[in-house]
Amino acid sequence: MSDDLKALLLAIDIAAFRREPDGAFTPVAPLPPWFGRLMRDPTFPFLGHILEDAAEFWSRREEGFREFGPCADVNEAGREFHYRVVAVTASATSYLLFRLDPDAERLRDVLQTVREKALVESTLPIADAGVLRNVVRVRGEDIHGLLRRVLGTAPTPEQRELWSAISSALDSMMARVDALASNPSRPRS
Amino acid sequence: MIQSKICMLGGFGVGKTSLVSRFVHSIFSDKYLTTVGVKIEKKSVAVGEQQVDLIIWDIYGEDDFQKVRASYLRGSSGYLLVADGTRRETLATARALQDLAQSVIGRVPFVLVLNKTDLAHQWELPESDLVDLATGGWRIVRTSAKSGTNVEAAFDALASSMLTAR
Repeated sequence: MSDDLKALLLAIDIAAFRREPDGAFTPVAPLPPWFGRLMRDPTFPFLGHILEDAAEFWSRREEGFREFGPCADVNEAGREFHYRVVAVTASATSYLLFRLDPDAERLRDVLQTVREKALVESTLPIADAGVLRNVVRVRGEDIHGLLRRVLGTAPTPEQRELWSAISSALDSMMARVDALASNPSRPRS
Repeated sequence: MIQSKICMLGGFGVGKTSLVSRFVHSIFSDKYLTTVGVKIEKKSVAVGEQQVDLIIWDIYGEDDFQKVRASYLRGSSGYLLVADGTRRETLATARALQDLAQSVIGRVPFVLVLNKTDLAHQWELPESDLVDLATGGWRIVRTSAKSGTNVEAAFDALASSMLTAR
């Protein structure tokens, strides 16, 4: 591999390995710092069925790639990061790539907000339903705003599906809170 | 040395990641952090004289937004089904995930973990439901990731069942 390509892979934070005939993985470029913790065992046994599926993909010897994940791990500083695993076949050679996945982190931020609200709803005393109604309405608008920023103007079909699911869930949550607020003596289901 | 993959399954916010953190790193945080994708951890346990390397797949919690992908379960030798004792609906989610797991990986050992015993005064799970499950052969362990109560016991119970099933 050329020095230019090695520098490029490092610059875009991709850890790249060539798969040897014996199944071992050899780095083809310097590994980015974030990858350190995943190198505890260079055979990556923790990948489990991902490696099995990748091996099946490589065995077909068709040029292209197959992506797996997202997976999450924690770096030395205790900060969680997400990455994807990519099996590649190019020029009759098998590669395994690991790349950071910032989309997963944005998705986590959205889900975190939605789920925190759902947890509050499930534990708040019924007498507080009126207050909760306002909280859900305001935070629902926050979530829609966050989604618009995350997904941009051209969301993928998968992202549109997620958006639709979140919108439906927010509507459903709002309807349930409305029901609670209008009839606070009703027992919680 | 035996190496076995196990999965953590359950609804969101039931404490799957907290149980793994307590078990693997002996730490607990009160702050809820949602999981996206899968976190993979490893810990060795002794079952009798046998060492077992558990490869723990902490899979994101299921809800309306994220359904558990069947492919994550493949190759699992067992799983912990986690429910939150203070949220009754999480038991239904656990039951649905047990159906999914059984359809994907067959009848492998599993343990139902009822987490958050430190919040016993908010417990919502009807004892009759739990009796029905136990009668149906489900192994049930009550845990608190916060205090650490029974966390090792839950993983040990699963590891032991997996060895017996080999």
